[in-house]
Amino acid sequence: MKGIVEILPYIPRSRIRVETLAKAWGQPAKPGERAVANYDEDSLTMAVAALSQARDPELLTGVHFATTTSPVGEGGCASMLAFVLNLPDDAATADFGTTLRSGTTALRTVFAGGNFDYGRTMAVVASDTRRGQPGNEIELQFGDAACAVIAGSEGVIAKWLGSASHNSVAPDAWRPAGQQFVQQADAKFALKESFLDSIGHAVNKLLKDLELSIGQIDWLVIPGATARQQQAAYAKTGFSGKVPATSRVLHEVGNCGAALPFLLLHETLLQAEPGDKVLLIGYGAGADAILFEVTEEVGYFKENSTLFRQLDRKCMIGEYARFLDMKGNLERETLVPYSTPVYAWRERETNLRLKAQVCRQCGTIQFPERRICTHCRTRDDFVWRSLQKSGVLFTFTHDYLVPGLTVPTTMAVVDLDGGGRLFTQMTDSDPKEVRIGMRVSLEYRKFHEGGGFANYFWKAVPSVDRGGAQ
Amino acid sequence: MNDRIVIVGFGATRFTEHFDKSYGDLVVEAAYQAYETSGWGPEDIQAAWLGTCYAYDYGTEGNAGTSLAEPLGLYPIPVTRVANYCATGLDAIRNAYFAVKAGEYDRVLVVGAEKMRDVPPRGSLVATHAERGHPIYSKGRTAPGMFGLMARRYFEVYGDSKEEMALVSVKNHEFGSLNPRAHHRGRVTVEQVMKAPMAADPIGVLDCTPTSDGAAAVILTRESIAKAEGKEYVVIAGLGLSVTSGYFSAQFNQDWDFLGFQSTREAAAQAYRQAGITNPLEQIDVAEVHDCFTITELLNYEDLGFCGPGEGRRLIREGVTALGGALPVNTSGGLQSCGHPIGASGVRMVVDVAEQLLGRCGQRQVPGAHVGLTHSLGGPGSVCGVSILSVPRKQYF
Repeated sequence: MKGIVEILPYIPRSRIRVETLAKAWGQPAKPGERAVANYDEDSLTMAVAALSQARDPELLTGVHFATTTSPVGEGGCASMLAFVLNLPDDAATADFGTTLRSGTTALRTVFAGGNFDYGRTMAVVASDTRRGQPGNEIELQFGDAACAVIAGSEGVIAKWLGSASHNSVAPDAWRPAGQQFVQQADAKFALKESFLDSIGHAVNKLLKDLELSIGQIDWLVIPGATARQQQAAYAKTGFSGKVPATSRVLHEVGNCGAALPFLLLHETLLQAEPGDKVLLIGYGAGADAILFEVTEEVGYFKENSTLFRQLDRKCMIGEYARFLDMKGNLERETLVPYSTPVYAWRERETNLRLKAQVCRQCGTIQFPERRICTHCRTRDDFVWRSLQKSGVLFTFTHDYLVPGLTVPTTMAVVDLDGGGRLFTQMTDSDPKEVRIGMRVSLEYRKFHEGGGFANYFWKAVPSVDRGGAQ
Repeated sequence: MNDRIVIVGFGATRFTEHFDKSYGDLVVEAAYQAYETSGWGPEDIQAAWLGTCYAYDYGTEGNAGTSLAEPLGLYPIPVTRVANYCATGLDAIRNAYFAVKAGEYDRVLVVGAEKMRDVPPRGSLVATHAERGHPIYSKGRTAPGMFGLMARRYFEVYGDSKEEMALVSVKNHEFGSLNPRAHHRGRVTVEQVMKAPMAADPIGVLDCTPTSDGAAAVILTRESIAKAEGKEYVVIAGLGLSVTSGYFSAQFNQDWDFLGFQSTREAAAQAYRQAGITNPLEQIDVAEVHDCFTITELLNYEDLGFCGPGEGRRLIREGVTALGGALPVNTSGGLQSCGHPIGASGVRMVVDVAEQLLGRCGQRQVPGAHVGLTHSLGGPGSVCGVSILSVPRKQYF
C-alpha cells in the first residue's frame, strides 16, 4: 500500500490583517489575516522549514520541490533542499514549477514511479511567496506558506487510489517572466472556462478510471481561495459529501499558491475518519485529481499535527508600509557583502548542514571548521557531527547599527543542546521578549545576496514548541 | 644588552574629524612633534614602523611602509607596516622595541595613523563588518554589538550595571574636557548617558567611542644614548601581546564566559612579569585602558587585576580610577573622548601616559606618577597589548 505518510506545514510567523491591507487602499475592511514571509525567508527556506519536521528523514530517498516563486531562475532548489536535509547524494531530486498545481503534479509523479520498498519515502515540498500588485484585489488574497507531503508505504495515513489530470490553456492567473506581480484574467471567464472546466474534467477522468461515482467521495479538496469557488466546484462535479469546517488556512494564511492544495488536504485529514475517500485537486493550467482513502493511522497524524500551533504562533505586521517592504516592493539600500560561490561551496557541510567537528582525542566540539583542535591541538583528527538545531540563549544584543532590513538586529549566542555554540542573528522575535536562558530553535534563512547568489545560514528563532519566551 | 629601551620623542595630532587633512598630513604632524620633542630629525632615524589597521577600506593609505615613507620622505630606510586590529599601534611599538633591543638600530620611529572620517562612520567600521569579512560567520556583528553581548552577560551575572557604565563615560568625558587633543571636549551627565539612544543594547551612543581621524608618534632609543645626550625619557618596562581567538569565530567559543578577555589577562601577565608588577593597583600610578565602550573599561579593570571579577562596578563607584583615586584611568579622556583612529590609539596612549610620567598634564596631572600602563584590546577581544612605562622616581620628587 502506498500513500501519504506525513503532511508537514510551514506557516511564516509574520502576519498582517486583511483589514490593514484593505485600509491602505481605502477599501472596506475584510476579516482574516495573511501570512507573510519574513525578509530572510523565501520559497526555499520555507520548504526547508517544512521538511525539517520529517519524522524519519533518513528514510527519504528523494525530494521534489514545487513552486511558482523559485528564488532562482536557473540553479536548482531541490538539490539544495536535499543537501541541507542531509539526503544521500544520489537522492532523486526534481524541480517543478510555473503552475500552481506543480505540487500535486509532483505528487502524481511520485505515486506513479516512486520506490517505497523497505519503508523508503519520497517528499514533495510545495512552497510559494507570490506577489500581487499593490492596490490590486489579489494583494488581499495572497499569503506565503509551504507544505511538505511525504509519500511512502509504511505508516500510511491516506492510501493512494489513483491520479488523473487535465490540461487547459484557458488563462486564469499568470506572471510573465521577469515580472513581479501575478496577473489575472476576467474573473467570470476564469471561473467558468478554466477553474470549473479543468476540475470537472480531471474529476470525471479519475472517477471513470477508478470506476467510482462522485457519490462515493467523502471529501473534495478544492484549492479555491473563496467559498464561492468551492461551492461552484462542488456543483460542477455534483459533489455532495462532507463539508469541511471554515478553513483556518484560507482565513489566516491566504491563497498560498502551490502550497495551498497540501495545506487544505492537511486540514481536511484533521476532520476525516478512517475509510473516508478524499479527492485532492490541484489547479493551474489544468487540474490534477488524486484520490486517497484515509486509514486508521490518521489518528496519529491528528495527534501530531503542528498546523494550528503554527497558525497561533505569529508576529503581527502593524503597518502596510512594512508589508510592502517585506514583499520587496520598496526600493531599499541593498548590502552586497563579500561572498563567492567557491567559498560558499567549500563550507557547505558546516554552513548548510550545520555540521561540527568533534575531536577524536579530547572530544571538543569545533564550529566553524578547523584543522587543529582548539583545545588539544591534535591535527586533522575529527568526526563530523550534526549540531542540534535547538538550544538556550547564552547572551544577546539588540544592535541598532547593523545596516539591514530590520532594526534592531538581534544578535544571539546560543548554547546548543548536545553541545556546541552558535553566534548568529535572531529572527521572528520581538526584542522585548528576548531573555537570557530562553529556548530557541535554529531555522535556515537567507542572509544576503553577496556574490550574486543567495547566502543561507541558520538563525535563532524563539522556540514556542518547547517553552519559548518566558 | 641590559640597556633599557626608552621613549624620547612624543607626538600626537588632535583626534577629531580632520576633513581638511590627509592621512599624510596627520602622519607628518605626529612625526614632526616626535622629532621636536626628541631633538632628533629624520636624518637620525634608522628604521620606522607604521601602525594602520585598515587600508583600502575607508581610505587609500596605510597598506605598507610606503604610506609612512612617502609623506615623511624617509627613503630609503626600512619601514614596516603593522596591523593587529585595535592593538595595532601598541604592536607597532612592540616590534620597534624588539629591533632596538636586538641591537640592530639605535633610533627608530613609530607612527600610528588612521583616517576614518573621509567617509561617514557607517562607511568605515560598520561597513567593515557588514560588507566585508566572512560571508556568514558573525554577520550582523558590529563593534558595539560584540560588547553589547558582554554587557548583557555582565548584567545577568553581576546585576544591572548601566549606571556604572555611565559613570565611566562621565569620568572620561570630564578628563576629555581638560585635554586639548580630545575629540569630544564636552562633559556628560549620568542621566544623559543612560538616556542616550541605543547603539547595541544595553550600550547607548554615549557609551561608545566616536569615529575620528588621528595620528600619534614615538621615537625609541637606548637608555644609554638618551642619558648621554641628556634627554628626558620614559622607560618601556614591560610589553606584552597575546592572541587568544580568531576574529569571525570568537563568539562561537564555548569556553568563553563573555565576562572578560583572556588576551588582556595574558598580555598583562607578560608585561607585569617584565616590569616586576605584582600588585597593579598599588604599583601603577596612571593607566590608559581600551574604553571603546564603557563596559569594556569595567571589564579591563578586572582583567588587568585592578580588582577582582565583578568588582569593576565598585571601582568606578568608589572613584578609585578618577583623579585623586588610587589609580586614575584614562586621564586623556580615553577612547570615549579622544575617539579611536584604530592604528593611532595604541601609540596615542603611550604618548599620554608618557606625558603623565613626565609631569606635563596640567589640570589632569596625577601627582607623582612614575609608573603607567597602557592597554589596547583588538578585534572581538582576540588580540591584546599591554605596556608598562616608568620613570625613575627621583627625577620628580
